[in-house]
Amino acid sequence: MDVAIIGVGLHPFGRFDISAREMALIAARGALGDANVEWADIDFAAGGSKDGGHADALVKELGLTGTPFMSVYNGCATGGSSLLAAANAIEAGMADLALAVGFDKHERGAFATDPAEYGIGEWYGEDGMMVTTQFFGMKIQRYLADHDLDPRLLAELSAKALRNGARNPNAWRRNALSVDAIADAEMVNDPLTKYMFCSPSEGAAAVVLASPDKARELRADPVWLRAVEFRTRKYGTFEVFSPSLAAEITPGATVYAAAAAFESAGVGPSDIDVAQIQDTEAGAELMHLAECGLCEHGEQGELIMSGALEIDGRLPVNTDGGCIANGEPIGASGLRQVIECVLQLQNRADGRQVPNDPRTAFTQVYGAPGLSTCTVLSR
Amino acid sequence: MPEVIDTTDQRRQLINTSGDEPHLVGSACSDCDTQTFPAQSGCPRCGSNAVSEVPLPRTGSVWTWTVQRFAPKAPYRADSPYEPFALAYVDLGPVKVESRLRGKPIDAWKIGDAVRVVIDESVTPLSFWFEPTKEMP
Repeated sequence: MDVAIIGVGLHPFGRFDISAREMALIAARGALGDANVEWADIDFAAGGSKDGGHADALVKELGLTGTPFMSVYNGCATGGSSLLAAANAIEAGMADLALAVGFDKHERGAFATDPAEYGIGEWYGEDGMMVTTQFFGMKIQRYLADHDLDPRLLAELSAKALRNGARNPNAWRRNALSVDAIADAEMVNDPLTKYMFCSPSEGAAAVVLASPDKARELRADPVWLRAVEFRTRKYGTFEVFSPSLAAEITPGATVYAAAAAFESAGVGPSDIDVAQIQDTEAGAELMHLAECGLCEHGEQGELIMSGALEIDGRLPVNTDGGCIANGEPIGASGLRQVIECVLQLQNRADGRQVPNDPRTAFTQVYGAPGLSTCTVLSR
Repeated sequence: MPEVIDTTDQRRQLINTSGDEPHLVGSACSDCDTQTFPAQSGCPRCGSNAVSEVPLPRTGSVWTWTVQRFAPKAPYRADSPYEPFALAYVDLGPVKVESRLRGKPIDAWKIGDAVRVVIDESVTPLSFWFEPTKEMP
């Protein structure tokens, strides 16, 4: 892929008194300003939100320029889909400059989902099984057993997220907690305690993409989007909202999206200097590290306990605190990851800059009911 | 609050209590043998619509489990006061079925525990669950 990111904008994640739309406008205008372009220069836009309203309606405030604006939605992976739509518009020659934006503002507490939206009978919800957090508990419970991993690694990963969040001025949760405090906290869905989950939150994120010629014209240090790959699940994967699972469990969508992203970027997992991985809860990061190819299944213990995933480690992961410290405004979350990688690659990640002079970065989002988008970025 | 939907008919399709051995009802694909629960009109593996209803095995083992410690939002029909419950994917061989677990302390379950299905339409809204095949000591 021959597309550059020339501007990023973020409204901090957390809880705020303004609407999701207002946050989206702040993020979008921030990205336009960072790219040193105007909304009127944008040839194509894509955006998504679960609870914040229609993305394309942002034109009312951004300006009624006639620009094509595609609204997209793919659960927690919505940001990846907005990015893909915008990048493809540039690749197709349809645009020289494109904007991808995501924003959201959710109610407190776990998401309430109507089974009918997923083609499941109401009985499943009545019986108390239409709950994302219990799926996370059951999936990591089995994974830990299959790979002989210590449940305490989950507390280690949460502690890392909160430590990194404490260094990120845009993060929501900015208080580090000890591994013991996390492990001994109230159990929510065994083996996951309350500090191992991300919470629905609020925020917005936007990026400006450019064709190679435009990028060179507008910015001395563009970040190149080498690959964006999106996959949905195949038969036999272990997904949320499943009244039954297959006799043989098969690899999830992340495995295919990550492999495709590395292949189309022409790099491998060992080339990655910094990565942002979907950590809806600590178990997700643990599993996704291996699904992305960043380690083997079962090797996570060594990787975590050696400090390799820390900001000053060999492979810094979730340097902005991830979903655990930022919470998850669904529409914005995937773009937050991309923005964090851009800032790291441009050496402007205030307070949390990785010291390894990063050249190549990786992101992975994963959403219900089993889809993933992975990117490879480089400077 | 979403309206409460009557799930009686949906629940009748999950179970078969007509014979001596009440069982869950799944569907099997006649082209690739894939089974699902609940029964559905197409095969999720090969897309064939040559699927028919099959009785699911009545015993299996806990494949993974957790405890639901907070009260789910609607459409969950809460006991009052809320009582946390254990649930699992039970490996029945041709398919793994998600179900409540009963008959043991909620956090005493282990992967591999042998369980059998219990079907009791008088327990509403729950119409089926799994419990240990052996008596607890």
